[in-house]
Amino acid sequence: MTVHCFTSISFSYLAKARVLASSVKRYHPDWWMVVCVTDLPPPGFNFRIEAEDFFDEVIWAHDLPIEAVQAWLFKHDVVEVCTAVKGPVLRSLLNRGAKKVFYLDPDIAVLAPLTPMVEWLDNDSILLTPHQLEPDDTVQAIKDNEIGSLIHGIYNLGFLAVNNDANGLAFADWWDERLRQFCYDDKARGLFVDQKWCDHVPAMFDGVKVVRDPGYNVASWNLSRRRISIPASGDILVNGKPLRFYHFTKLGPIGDAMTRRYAGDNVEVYEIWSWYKRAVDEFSEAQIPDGYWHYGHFSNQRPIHKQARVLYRSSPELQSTYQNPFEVTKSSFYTWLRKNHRKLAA
Amino acid sequence: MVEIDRSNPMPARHLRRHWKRQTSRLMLSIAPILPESFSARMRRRMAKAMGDAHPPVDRPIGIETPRASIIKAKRPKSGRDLPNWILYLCLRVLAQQYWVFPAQRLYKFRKSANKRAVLLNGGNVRQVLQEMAHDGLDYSRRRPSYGFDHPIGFRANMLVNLRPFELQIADSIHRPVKRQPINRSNFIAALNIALSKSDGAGVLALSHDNYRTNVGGLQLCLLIEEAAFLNRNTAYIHLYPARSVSALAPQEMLSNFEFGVTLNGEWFGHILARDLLEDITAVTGKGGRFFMAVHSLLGHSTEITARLYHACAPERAFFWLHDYFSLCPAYTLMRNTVSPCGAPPPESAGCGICHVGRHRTLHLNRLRALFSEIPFTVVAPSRSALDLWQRASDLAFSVALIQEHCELHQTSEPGVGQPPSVGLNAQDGSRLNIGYLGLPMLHKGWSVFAEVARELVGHPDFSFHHLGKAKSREAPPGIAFTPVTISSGDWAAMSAAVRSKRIDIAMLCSLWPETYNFTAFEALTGGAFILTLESSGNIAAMVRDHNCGMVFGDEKALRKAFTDGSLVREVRDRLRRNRPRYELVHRNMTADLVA
Repeated sequence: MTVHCFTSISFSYLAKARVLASSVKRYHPDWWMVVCVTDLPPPGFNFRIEAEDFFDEVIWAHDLPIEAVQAWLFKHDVVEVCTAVKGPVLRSLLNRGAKKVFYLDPDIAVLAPLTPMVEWLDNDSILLTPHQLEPDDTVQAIKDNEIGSLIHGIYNLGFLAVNNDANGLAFADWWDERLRQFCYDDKARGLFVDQKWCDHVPAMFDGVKVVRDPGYNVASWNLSRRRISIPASGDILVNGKPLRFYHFTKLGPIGDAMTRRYAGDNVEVYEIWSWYKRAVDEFSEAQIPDGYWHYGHFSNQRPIHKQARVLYRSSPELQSTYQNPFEVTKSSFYTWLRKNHRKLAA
Repeated sequence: MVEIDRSNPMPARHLRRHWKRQTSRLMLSIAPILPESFSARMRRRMAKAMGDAHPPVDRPIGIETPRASIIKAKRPKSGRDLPNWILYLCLRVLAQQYWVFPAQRLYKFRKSANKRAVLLNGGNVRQVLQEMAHDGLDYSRRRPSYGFDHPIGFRANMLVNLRPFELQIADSIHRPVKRQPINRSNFIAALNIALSKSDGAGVLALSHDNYRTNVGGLQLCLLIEEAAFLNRNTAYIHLYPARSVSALAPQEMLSNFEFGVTLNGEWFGHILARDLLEDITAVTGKGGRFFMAVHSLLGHSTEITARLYHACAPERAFFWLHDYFSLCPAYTLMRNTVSPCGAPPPESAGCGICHVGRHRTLHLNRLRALFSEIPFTVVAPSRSALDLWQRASDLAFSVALIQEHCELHQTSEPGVGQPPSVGLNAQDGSRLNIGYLGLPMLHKGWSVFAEVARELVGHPDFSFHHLGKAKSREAPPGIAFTPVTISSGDWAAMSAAVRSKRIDIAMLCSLWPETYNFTAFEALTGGAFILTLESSGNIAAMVRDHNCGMVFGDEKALRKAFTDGSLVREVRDRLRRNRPRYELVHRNMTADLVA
């Protein structure tokens, strides 16, 4: 029985996804590793799945069974769309017979076998990892972590595991439908991409297991209550339990600052980050420009502002008039934008 | 906190454009302290933000390498005041992003930016740095290595500066080596003469460098061993890899692998391994006892070492555990250079995140092949080293034994020319002299010493000294340096220096599990009290065995002892007692084992 594991990226995240895939394959060489790419390769870069060492399959977002897919892609910014595709991909993997499906964010690395999770799925249908497992005790940490989770969602959707049973399928169907319509970063309306939706899951579906082992999904938002150690056995432990996977959220100055704030003098945390940065460097491609995203531009290479996307997605009239809003012609959405919202077409 | 500069208000309609320009000017001025890639992006932004008024600077701006010196950026035209708080935020963001070298960068920035501070008309860098220091962000120190208040101290710098191991090896392979080819006929003649004089008795010793020109504990061992064998009329042939590599020599180097050769203390030059094998085969095996002593395989090839063994067919082959290179390419067993790892299984998660982790399996496979071919007598200089090695190694060997490098002889009186007592400073209530002995290397505990010295410089109870061959370029101010060089004629130079500088406390806080550590014994015979860490291997064992110091669980406990006064009390109390005095007698290394 093959476990399917998928991740979702734009090409800017390819190096991270390769680190993830290599770490998954290190412990689970038999897992079927899928990458969903919501992007097109930049000029000069040829992405071939056969040449990828750790991916078994690529699913292109524009090939997903989504109605008016170009318009749908346009409605989302990069984070929104890369999370929105998780629903359709999960559903399609389950529908084609995958028994157990794992989703892992591309900025995660697996550091020990995930076998316990595979086994939990024999009895449970859906596995979720909360951002926090125990209360914080400083105002700063409460603001950063607990209140952050109230805003962005209790469960971190960098990880999700679903069994192909009635509960799992019901969840996948519901999540897919919601994400197709409402996968936006619009916190004022109670939305935060795919993540906030899953606050409903324990109430709506049976067979949900909330993973309360500190070894899963360690990240800056729970480091305040987790201490990493590496004894002479070479195992990486979190509060004495094996570290299964680490979520390297916000690689860069913000991630560094948050790690520093909550890891304190826990040297092993910085070592893990140091390894991750080296690994990402190693898997990086010089041909992929920083911040590259094909769907971030109109066909004339002008950047697409978030407000233009919001304008488009909130207007059924615009959507029906301009079915491929990326293209630039005399009667395109871009031309309309130039005429009516000049700043957004700059 | 820096106050917002609200003087000289301007109409709101100009404010946005004004700040945009001012920020661009700031970006321009700080661009030289940023990496090349960042500078390139910044240039593009500047080009966009500044328009024709301040055209982007194509050259020179940015830095070629992360440590490259500042290249003068083209100055923007003078402008209006830049509020300090913007500068504060920018510097703080920079510092957070580049906590690798922020102090160094900002120091350079400050040096050059003092001029730019004028240019910025109010963006007073010094003042802002002071404000940052008040916030606990002291980036104004001269050197970054231990000056940055990161929660993990100097280890933060080590981790960020850590280069992938494969790049380190590639650097070694491609680094030009000054070759001095051996005159083969002269060498063969000298070899024949040496072996005929010794009736065919000889030793083939291997280590990682030329022990006659480099300084260190291992080199001292070889000097002693060479002298002992020469005294016994035994030829001493020493080989080291001509190209220094911090791993086993990669396979691609083997066809042209070269040794540096020393015969009976005389350096002959470089020779190809295949030529040397021919020569050794031709001259050895003519009677007399022949031995092989492997002191270090760093930079060597296990395959060529095996062929050397077969070529000279020694009576016995000794493998010395001066370090743990036979367990891991990271021979100090420091994961990512910052944490003692204890040599876990190579497939462990700990090795998985280590900078040498992935190379360890191949490394061990090559060593297994070597040890299966050569029935080594494994010699450890301490019980702690042998215990660790046997616990972590699966290498086959003939015999394992312990031979310490020195013997400590207790003496009742100080030696001739020595002061009657050490620790006088401590007894009369004045400052304790704290010393670091040896080369200023991170794994030897230099950074631990330097951090303590930096924190306590000027403290009425302590003064800090560094005794060694070379002064650290990154030494914090306030550490008095005394040059001490140990040579074949003066092996007790360090002990004598400890006495003459009246070092009360030797801080030997090695971060790695030392297999022996001469320095600790030299400190003891010099009369110093030793402070060390639990992680220091044989130093901690020796301190406990001789009750000659204190062993701390970690650096926090060590620093606490300095600051809460307990160290001063303990040391003064101990120094007042009638302590035994010791004399150090060096053993003859392999020569003692083949007597």
